[in-house]
Amino acid sequence: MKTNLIQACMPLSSNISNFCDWHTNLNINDADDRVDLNLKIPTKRLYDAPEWRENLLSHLVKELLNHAQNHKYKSLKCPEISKELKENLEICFIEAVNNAIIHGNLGLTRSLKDNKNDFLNLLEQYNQVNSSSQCLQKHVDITLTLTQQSLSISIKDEGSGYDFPAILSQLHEVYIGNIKPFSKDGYKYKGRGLMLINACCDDMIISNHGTTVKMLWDLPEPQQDKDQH
Amino acid sequence: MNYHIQTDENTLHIHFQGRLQFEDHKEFKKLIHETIPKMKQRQIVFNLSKMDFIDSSGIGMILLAHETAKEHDKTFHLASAQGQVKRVLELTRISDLIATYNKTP
Repeated sequence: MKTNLIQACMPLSSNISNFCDWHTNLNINDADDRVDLNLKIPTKRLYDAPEWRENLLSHLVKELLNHAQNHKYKSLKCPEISKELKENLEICFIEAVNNAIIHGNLGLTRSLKDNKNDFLNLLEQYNQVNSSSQCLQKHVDITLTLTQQSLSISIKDEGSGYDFPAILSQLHEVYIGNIKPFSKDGYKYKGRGLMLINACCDDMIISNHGTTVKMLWDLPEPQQDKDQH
Repeated sequence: MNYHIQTDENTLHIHFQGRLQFEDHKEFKKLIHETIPKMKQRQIVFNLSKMDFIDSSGIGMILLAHETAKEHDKTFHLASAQGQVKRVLELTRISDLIATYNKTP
Protein backbone atom coordinates (compact mmCIF):
# COMPACT_ATOMS: atom_id res chain seq x y z
CA MET A 1 0.00 0.00 0.00
CA LYS A 2 1.40 3.36 -0.94
CA THR A 3 0.01 6.37 0.89
CA ASN A 4 0.79 9.97 0.24
CA LEU A 5 1.51 11.46 3.62
CA ILE A 6 -0.75 14.43 2.98
CA GLN A 7 -3.67 12.00 3.05
CA ALA A 8 -2.39 9.89 5.92
CA CYS A 9 -4.53 9.92 9.03
CA MET A 10 -1.79 10.78 11.51
CA PRO A 11 -1.36 14.43 12.49
CA LEU A 12 1.33 16.20 10.55
CA SER A 13 3.88 18.47 12.09
CA SER A 14 3.93 21.95 10.62
CA ASN A 15 7.38 21.50 9.11
CA ILE A 16 6.41 18.30 7.33
CA SER A 17 3.26 20.01 6.08
CA ASN A 18 5.43 22.76 4.67
CA PHE A 19 7.55 20.20 2.85
CA CYS A 20 4.38 18.77 1.33
CA ASP A 21 3.17 22.25 0.38
CA TRP A 22 6.40 22.63 -1.49
CA HIS A 23 5.42 19.74 -3.73
CA THR A 24 8.11 17.48 -2.44
CA ASN A 25 7.47 13.85 -2.85
CA LEU A 26 6.89 12.09 0.46
CA ASN A 27 5.57 8.54 0.49
CA ILE A 28 5.04 5.78 3.00
CA ASN A 29 5.16 2.19 1.87
CA ASP A 30 3.68 -0.48 4.16
CA ALA A 31 4.53 -4.12 4.02
CA ASP A 32 3.86 -6.89 6.48
CA ASP A 33 7.18 -6.61 8.24
CA ARG A 34 8.55 -3.18 7.33
CA VAL A 35 7.72 0.47 6.83
CA ASP A 36 9.53 2.59 4.23
CA LEU A 37 9.32 6.34 4.20
CA ASN A 38 10.70 8.15 1.19
CA LEU A 39 11.16 11.87 0.67
CA LYS A 40 12.54 13.57 -2.40
CA ILE A 41 13.47 17.12 -1.63
CA PRO A 42 14.94 19.70 -4.02
CA THR A 43 18.38 20.92 -2.99
CA LYS A 44 17.13 24.50 -3.14
CA ARG A 45 14.79 23.91 -0.20
CA LEU A 46 17.64 22.71 1.97
CA TYR A 47 20.02 25.37 0.66
CA ASP A 48 17.58 28.22 1.36
CA ALA A 49 16.54 26.92 4.79
CA PRO A 50 19.55 25.03 6.16
CA GLU A 51 18.03 24.81 9.64
CA TRP A 52 15.59 22.26 8.21
CA ARG A 53 18.40 19.76 7.88
CA GLU A 54 18.44 19.45 11.66
CA ASN A 55 14.63 19.47 12.04
CA LEU A 56 13.84 17.08 9.24
CA LEU A 57 15.26 13.89 10.74
CA SER A 58 13.28 14.05 13.99
CA HIS A 59 10.07 14.66 12.03
CA LEU A 60 10.77 11.78 9.65
CA VAL A 61 11.63 9.36 12.47
CA LYS A 62 8.51 10.44 14.35
CA GLU A 63 6.36 9.82 11.29
CA LEU A 64 8.03 6.45 10.73
CA LEU A 65 7.46 5.34 14.33
CA ASN A 66 3.86 6.62 14.33
CA HIS A 67 3.27 4.58 11.25
CA ALA A 68 4.89 1.48 12.75
CA GLN A 69 2.74 1.89 15.86
CA ASN A 70 -0.42 2.08 13.75
CA HIS A 71 0.74 -0.68 11.45
CA LYS A 72 -2.34 -2.47 10.26
CA TYR A 73 -0.74 -5.91 10.25
CA LYS A 74 0.60 -5.46 13.81
CA SER A 75 3.57 -7.72 13.12
CA LEU A 76 6.06 -4.88 13.47
CA LYS A 77 6.73 -3.79 17.03
CA CYS A 78 7.67 -0.17 17.45
CA PRO A 79 11.28 0.06 18.71
CA GLU A 80 12.58 2.20 21.54
CA ILE A 81 14.93 4.87 20.21
CA SER A 82 17.66 5.20 22.84
CA LYS A 83 19.53 8.45 23.46
CA GLU A 84 22.65 6.92 21.93
CA LEU A 85 20.80 5.77 18.82
CA LYS A 86 19.16 9.19 18.48
CA GLU A 87 22.58 10.87 18.61
CA ASN A 88 23.98 8.43 16.06
CA LEU A 89 21.04 8.91 13.71
CA GLU A 90 21.40 12.66 13.92
CA ILE A 91 25.11 12.94 13.20
CA CYS A 92 24.93 10.39 10.36
CA PHE A 93 21.88 12.05 8.80
CA ILE A 94 23.38 15.55 8.95
CA GLU A 95 26.73 14.41 7.51
CA ALA A 96 25.13 12.39 4.71
CA VAL A 97 22.65 15.13 3.74
CA ASN A 98 25.39 17.79 3.80
CA ASN A 99 27.61 15.58 1.62
CA ALA A 100 24.70 15.01 -0.79
CA ILE A 101 24.06 18.75 -1.07
CA ILE A 102 27.59 20.16 -1.03
CA HIS A 103 29.72 17.55 -2.78
CA GLY A 104 26.94 15.68 -4.63
CA ASN A 105 24.32 18.01 -6.05
CA LEU A 106 26.30 21.26 -5.92
CA GLY A 107 29.43 19.45 -7.12
CA LEU A 108 31.75 21.44 -4.84
CA THR A 109 35.10 19.78 -4.31
CA ARG A 110 38.27 20.51 -2.45
CA SER A 111 41.75 20.58 -3.83
CA LEU A 112 44.26 18.03 -2.65
CA LYS A 113 45.90 20.62 -0.42
CA ASP A 114 43.60 19.93 2.55
CA ASN A 115 44.49 23.17 4.32
CA LYS A 116 42.73 26.14 5.89
CA ASN A 117 42.40 28.09 2.62
CA ASP A 118 41.02 25.04 0.87
CA PHE A 119 38.34 24.74 3.57
CA LEU A 120 37.55 28.48 3.33
CA ASN A 121 37.35 28.27 -0.47
CA LEU A 122 34.79 25.50 -0.21
CA LEU A 123 32.65 27.62 2.15
CA GLU A 124 33.01 30.58 -0.21
CA GLN A 125 31.96 28.50 -3.24
CA TYR A 126 28.94 27.28 -1.26
CA ASN A 127 27.90 30.84 -0.37
CA GLN A 128 28.25 31.97 -3.97
CA VAL A 129 25.98 29.36 -5.55
CA ASN A 130 23.72 31.25 -7.94
CA SER A 131 20.06 31.02 -6.91
CA SER A 132 19.14 30.08 -10.50
CA SER A 133 21.76 27.32 -10.68
CA GLN A 134 20.49 24.07 -12.15
CA CYS A 135 22.32 22.26 -9.37
CA LEU A 136 19.75 23.57 -6.88
CA GLN A 137 17.00 21.79 -8.83
CA LYS A 138 18.61 18.40 -8.21
CA HIS A 139 16.99 16.27 -5.52
CA VAL A 140 18.18 14.69 -2.32
CA ASP A 141 16.39 11.37 -2.00
CA ILE A 142 15.95 10.22 1.62
CA THR A 143 14.61 6.78 2.53
CA LEU A 144 14.05 5.53 6.07
CA THR A 145 13.30 1.84 6.50
CA LEU A 146 12.16 0.20 9.72
CA THR A 147 12.07 -3.56 10.14
CA GLN A 148 11.96 -5.59 13.33
CA GLN A 149 15.73 -6.02 13.18
CA SER A 150 17.00 -2.68 11.95
CA LEU A 151 16.50 0.95 11.12
CA SER A 152 18.22 2.30 8.03
CA ILE A 153 18.57 5.66 6.34
CA SER A 154 19.58 5.93 2.73
CA ILE A 155 20.62 9.26 1.20
CA LYS A 156 20.98 9.56 -2.56
CA ASP A 157 22.14 12.58 -4.52
CA GLU A 158 22.10 13.41 -8.22
CA GLY A 159 25.78 14.29 -8.46
CA SER A 160 28.44 12.53 -10.48
CA GLY A 161 29.78 10.44 -7.59
CA TYR A 162 33.38 10.01 -6.50
CA ASP A 163 36.06 7.39 -6.19
CA PHE A 164 34.73 6.06 -2.90
CA PRO A 165 36.84 2.88 -2.66
CA ALA A 166 39.98 5.04 -2.72
CA ILE A 167 38.58 7.52 -0.18
CA LEU A 168 37.40 4.75 2.15
CA SER A 169 40.76 3.05 1.96
CA GLN A 170 42.53 6.31 2.85
CA LEU A 171 40.08 7.00 5.67
CA HIS A 172 40.70 3.53 7.04
CA GLU A 173 44.42 4.21 7.10
CA VAL A 174 43.98 7.57 8.79
CA TYR A 175 41.42 6.71 11.45
CA ILE A 176 41.87 2.99 12.01
CA GLY A 177 45.31 2.21 10.62
CA ASN A 178 48.68 3.62 11.47
CA ILE A 179 48.46 7.10 9.98
CA LYS A 180 47.29 9.67 12.47
CA PRO A 181 44.97 12.51 11.43
CA PHE A 182 46.79 15.86 11.61
CA SER A 183 50.10 14.18 10.88
CA LYS A 184 52.05 14.92 7.70
CA ASP A 185 50.26 12.14 5.80
CA GLY A 186 46.93 12.34 7.62
CA TYR A 187 43.84 14.34 6.87
CA LYS A 188 43.32 17.67 8.48
CA TYR A 189 40.18 19.29 7.11
CA LYS A 190 38.62 16.63 4.91
CA GLY A 191 37.13 13.16 5.10
CA ARG A 192 35.80 13.63 8.59
CA GLY A 193 32.10 13.42 7.66
CA LEU A 194 32.38 9.94 6.18
CA MET A 195 34.56 8.86 9.07
CA LEU A 196 31.90 10.01 11.57
CA ILE A 197 29.17 8.18 9.64
CA ASN A 198 31.25 5.02 9.62
CA ALA A 199 31.88 5.28 13.35
CA CYS A 200 28.28 6.06 14.32
CA CYS A 201 26.31 3.36 12.49
CA ASP A 202 26.47 -0.44 12.50
CA ASP A 203 26.86 -0.70 8.75
CA MET A 204 27.63 1.82 6.02
CA ILE A 205 27.14 0.89 2.38
CA ILE A 206 28.18 3.27 -0.38
CA SER A 207 26.91 2.49 -3.88
CA ASN A 208 25.96 3.98 -7.27
CA HIS A 209 29.46 5.42 -7.81
CA GLY A 210 29.30 7.16 -4.44
CA THR A 211 25.97 8.90 -4.96
CA THR A 212 24.17 6.73 -2.39
CA VAL A 213 25.05 6.09 1.20
CA LYS A 214 22.99 3.68 3.27
CA MET A 215 23.44 3.68 7.03
CA LEU A 216 22.04 0.87 9.13
CA TRP A 217 21.52 0.39 12.86
CA ASP A 218 20.70 -2.96 14.45
CA LEU A 219 17.74 -2.76 16.80
CA PRO A 220 17.50 -4.69 20.05
CA GLU A 221 15.13 -7.64 20.18
CA PRO A 222 11.66 -6.37 21.14
CA GLN A 223 10.62 -7.33 24.66
CA GLN A 224 7.98 -10.05 24.85
CA ASP A 225 4.60 -8.94 26.14
CA LYS A 226 4.16 -9.83 29.80
CA ASP A 227 0.95 -11.81 29.20
CA GLN A 228 2.85 -14.17 26.92
CA HIS A 229 4.97 -15.45 29.84
CA MET B 1 25.16 28.79 17.34
CA ASN B 2 25.04 31.08 20.37
CA TYR B 3 27.99 32.34 22.34
CA HIS B 4 29.16 34.93 24.78
CA ILE B 5 32.65 36.24 25.38
CA GLN B 6 34.28 36.68 28.75
CA THR B 7 37.76 37.99 29.34
CA ASP B 8 40.29 38.12 32.13
CA GLU B 9 43.87 39.28 32.16
CA ASN B 10 45.36 36.29 30.37
CA THR B 11 42.48 34.55 28.65
CA LEU B 12 39.64 35.23 26.27
CA HIS B 13 36.87 32.70 26.86
CA ILE B 14 34.20 32.04 24.27
CA HIS B 15 31.30 30.15 25.85
CA PHE B 16 29.30 28.34 23.18
CA GLN B 17 25.73 27.20 23.48
CA GLY B 18 23.59 24.95 21.30
CA ARG B 19 24.89 23.60 18.01
CA LEU B 20 27.97 24.19 15.87
CA GLN B 21 27.35 22.90 12.36
CA PHE B 22 27.78 23.66 8.68
CA GLU B 23 25.19 26.44 8.48
CA ASP B 24 26.98 28.38 11.24
CA HIS B 25 30.11 28.88 9.13
CA LYS B 26 29.46 32.51 8.18
CA GLU B 27 28.81 33.64 11.73
CA PHE B 28 31.68 31.56 13.10
CA LYS B 29 34.16 32.93 10.55
CA LYS B 30 33.07 36.47 11.42
CA LEU B 31 33.49 35.75 15.15
CA ILE B 32 37.00 34.39 14.66
CA HIS B 33 38.18 37.14 12.33
CA GLU B 34 36.79 39.88 14.53
CA THR B 35 38.04 38.45 17.80
CA ILE B 36 41.42 36.77 17.51
CA PRO B 37 43.40 39.50 15.65
CA LYS B 38 42.23 42.14 18.15
CA MET B 39 42.55 40.25 21.44
CA LYS B 40 45.20 41.30 23.94
CA GLN B 41 45.20 38.13 26.03
CA ARG B 42 47.75 35.43 25.31
CA GLN B 43 45.31 32.53 25.19
CA ILE B 44 41.85 31.73 23.89
CA VAL B 45 39.59 29.02 25.32
CA PHE B 46 36.48 27.63 23.71
CA ASN B 47 34.20 26.53 26.54
CA LEU B 48 31.99 23.78 25.10
CA SER B 49 30.08 22.78 28.24
CA LYS B 50 26.78 24.12 26.88
CA MET B 51 27.35 23.01 23.28
CA ASP B 52 25.11 20.03 22.60
CA PHE B 53 25.82 19.14 18.96
CA ILE B 54 28.74 19.40 16.57
CA ASP B 55 29.19 18.03 13.05
CA SER B 56 32.31 17.54 10.91
CA SER B 57 32.06 21.13 9.61
CA GLY B 58 32.00 22.33 13.23
CA ILE B 59 35.25 20.42 13.76
CA GLY B 60 36.63 22.10 10.62
CA MET B 61 35.69 25.47 12.08
CA ILE B 62 37.45 24.69 15.36
CA LEU B 63 40.57 23.81 13.32
CA LEU B 64 40.20 27.11 11.51
CA ALA B 65 40.08 28.96 14.85
CA HIS B 66 43.11 27.01 16.05
CA GLU B 67 45.15 27.95 12.96
CA THR B 68 44.07 31.59 13.17
CA ALA B 69 45.10 31.68 16.85
CA LYS B 70 48.47 30.17 15.95
CA GLU B 71 49.01 32.79 13.26
CA HIS B 72 48.55 35.47 15.93
CA ASP B 73 50.78 33.73 18.51
CA LYS B 74 47.89 32.83 20.78
CA THR B 75 47.47 29.60 22.68
CA PHE B 76 44.23 27.81 21.85
CA HIS B 77 42.39 25.33 24.10
CA LEU B 78 39.10 23.46 24.14
CA ALA B 79 37.35 22.88 27.45
CA SER B 80 34.46 21.04 29.08
CA ALA B 81 32.98 19.20 26.09
CA GLN B 82 30.05 16.96 27.06
CA GLY B 83 27.95 14.22 25.50
CA GLN B 84 27.81 14.16 21.70
CA VAL B 85 30.39 16.94 21.37
CA LYS B 86 32.89 15.09 23.57
CA ARG B 87 32.33 11.90 21.58
CA VAL B 88 32.87 13.61 18.21
CA LEU B 89 36.04 15.29 19.48
CA GLU B 90 37.31 11.88 20.59
CA LEU B 91 36.37 10.15 17.33
CA THR B 92 38.13 12.82 15.27
CA ARG B 93 41.17 12.69 17.58
CA ILE B 94 41.21 16.45 17.82
CA SER B 95 43.25 16.25 21.01
CA ASP B 96 46.19 15.04 18.87
CA LEU B 97 46.38 18.63 17.69
CA ILE B 98 44.62 20.88 20.21
CA ALA B 99 44.93 20.87 24.00
CA THR B 100 41.60 19.68 25.31
CA TYR B 101 40.58 19.91 28.97
CA ASN B 102 37.68 18.41 30.89
CA LYS B 103 37.36 21.67 32.79
CA THR B 104 38.23 25.24 31.92
CA PRO B 105 42.02 25.62 32.31
